[in-house]
Amino acid sequence: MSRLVTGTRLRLSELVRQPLTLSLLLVLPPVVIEMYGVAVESFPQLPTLSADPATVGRMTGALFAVAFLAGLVGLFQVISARNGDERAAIAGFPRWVMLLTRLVTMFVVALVGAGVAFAVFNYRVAVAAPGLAFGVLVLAALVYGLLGVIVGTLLPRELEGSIVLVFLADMDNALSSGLFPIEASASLPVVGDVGVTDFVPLFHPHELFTAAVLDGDLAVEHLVPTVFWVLALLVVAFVAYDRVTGEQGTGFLTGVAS
Amino acid sequence: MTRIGTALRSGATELRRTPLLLALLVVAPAYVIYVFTLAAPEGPASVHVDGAVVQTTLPEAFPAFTTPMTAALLAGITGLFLMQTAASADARLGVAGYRAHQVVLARLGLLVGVAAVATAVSVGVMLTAFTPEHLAWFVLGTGLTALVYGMIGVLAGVALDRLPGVYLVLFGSMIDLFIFQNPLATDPPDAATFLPGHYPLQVVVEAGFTDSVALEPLGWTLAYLAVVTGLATLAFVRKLRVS
Amino acid sequence: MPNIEDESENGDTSSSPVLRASGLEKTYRSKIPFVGRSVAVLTGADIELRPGEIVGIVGANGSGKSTLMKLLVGALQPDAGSVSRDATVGWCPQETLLYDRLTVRETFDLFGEAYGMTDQRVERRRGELADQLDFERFLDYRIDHLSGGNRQKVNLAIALLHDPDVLLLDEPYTGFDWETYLAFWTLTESLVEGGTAIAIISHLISERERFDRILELKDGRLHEQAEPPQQARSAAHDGEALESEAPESEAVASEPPTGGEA
Repeated sequence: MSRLVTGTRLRLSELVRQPLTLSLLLVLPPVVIEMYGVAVESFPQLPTLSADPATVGRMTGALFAVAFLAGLVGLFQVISARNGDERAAIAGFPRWVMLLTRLVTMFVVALVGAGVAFAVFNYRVAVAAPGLAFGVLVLAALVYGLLGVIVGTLLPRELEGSIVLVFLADMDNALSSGLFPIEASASLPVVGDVGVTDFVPLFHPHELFTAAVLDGDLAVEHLVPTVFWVLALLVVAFVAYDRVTGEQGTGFLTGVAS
Repeated sequence: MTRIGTALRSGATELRRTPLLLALLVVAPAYVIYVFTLAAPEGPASVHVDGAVVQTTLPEAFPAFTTPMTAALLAGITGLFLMQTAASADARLGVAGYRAHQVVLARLGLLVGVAAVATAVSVGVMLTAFTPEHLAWFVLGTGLTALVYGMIGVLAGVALDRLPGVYLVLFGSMIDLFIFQNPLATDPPDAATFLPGHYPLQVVVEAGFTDSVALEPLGWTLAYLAVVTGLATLAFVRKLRVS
Repeated sequence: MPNIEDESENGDTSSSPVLRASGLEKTYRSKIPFVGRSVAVLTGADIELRPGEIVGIVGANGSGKSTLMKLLVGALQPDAGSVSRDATVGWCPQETLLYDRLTVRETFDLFGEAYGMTDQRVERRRGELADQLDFERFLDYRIDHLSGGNRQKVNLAIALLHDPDVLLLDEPYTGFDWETYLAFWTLTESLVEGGTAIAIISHLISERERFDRILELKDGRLHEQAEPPQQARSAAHDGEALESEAPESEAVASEPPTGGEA
């Protein structure tokens, strides 16, 4: 436990010593939320929208601003510390503890980012269940934070990892935001009631968030898949990290590619 | 000129030897445009371009406006990192005799190449679902969108650390190109005309859905591109100091 | 061969300096006001290099040696002071500032272009340096596929490629095997005989006789060491310890050390 606490404290110290980065990461999400609200106001009131365009815009903006922040933190945490973690492992730090410190650090940053973003969001939108809505934001951050860690583990290069994460988030935003009339049972092959949007990481958190903000309800049918996403990504993160860092620290994809 | 050519060739060689990046330059836009095209529902769409409204369908509108956004995002992220990854070695090249503008031009030339590849792949995938009225103008508009955002990526890379830089490039391009400049939007604010994507996307939408392409938005696009390129060049020259 | 005519042997101090710097000041400041610390690294450093001399630059970690060299080469701008260079300069930085995915051969081509050399001359010099520093078999290896020592050889060779009149070397033999280390000194001796001025930053100036002068960077300024600092030998070597000299710029001690040196 002390190793986990020590490791997390030191990771957070590293982040705090980049005041420009930290301040921008606290300022950017609220800016994104507001810009989304203004931008989506220019769209017509489509029947698929759950609320007025400005509110839909701010909800989408809040979710993605917070989630992608956590995703980037997870990605860069893992990539930038690769060599240091390798050495710490040789010195006796268990690898799973190191990964855990990265995850906890990512979570703490996401929590702070979510708090700041939610404060702005709550000021601009009448939120029916603030506690629930904030919790969903944190869940969304967890999903993308884990995605960021996985991408950073498998592709330990900042440019390539960023491209993958950015395009994942880009599609996610487009498909799950409700801004565009995407049909869940679109032309992709479906299995039972599973449609394309079920493979989009933030679709269910978006539905959870919408229900919490507009109705004050906990949409259980979307909570279960969200929790499943978190648990599944957690397992994948640990397995990937263990497999990749255990083999002389080379990312197997980039090792083959280069 | 030979110095710039040599540095450009070396940069291209380095890029060629990064197969994962090359693969992503192809796969990423293909993934986005293809999936978004597949997910588009049937139904009519009203495309707003320069005060006029053109009727089309959603399966055609979706790939059309996704294409420039995808190329721009790719060029923006690449621009962000392209200058940073070799900055110290570039500074040494400067000490060895290269003038700062020669190094910068070589790097920007590389960015033009990446933007061209991103544009070609994005348009290529788009053509499986949608054929614009004027393909050449559409390609030009998409390429210019990519270049503008590539230069913005360079500026972000110089001014910011990578983490906030990536964040800014993603959300900046999405909010600008995917939302403010989206042709399905009926009533964008006047201030949206000052955003980087306004004029190049106007070229793209006109080329995609109308009979003719006005030269005025193209002119403004080139002017905008000249300004951001100038700023990016100045910023990069300043950055060419070993720290 | 160096551009300067054969003006001197073993450091002719009467010839005019080929590199001169005076009053160099440099402070590293935090990007954000009131956050972080400022570090004044150089506070008025002066240095002159003359043809055919080898100067060693020593100093504690963080004393500003690499910063000084970057200012001399023009990679950094000083906050105050001036640098004048009347000759071509070759710089070997402490870090291997090279392009990872280029091969050794391609790296020489690129920097040869930077130095304004013809292809033939680049090829000739590349062959000579590869032979002298023993990295011929790695010419078609990518930089990022080289070991640390071989990468450093290439790093050094790039600085020597254009036969500069002045060489500024920052810890040039880090990672060298013993043979390469000796080859390095053979090479520098021949360069010095040809009139090249060489400044070397090293933490380990153990072979003082190789240097004409040793400058110590301390408190932001350079001080010439009049006497080599005597190091007490451990009892493990020959069982006798030498007295250590305390002042660096004062005259020699009045009595010889008990080790028996005259």
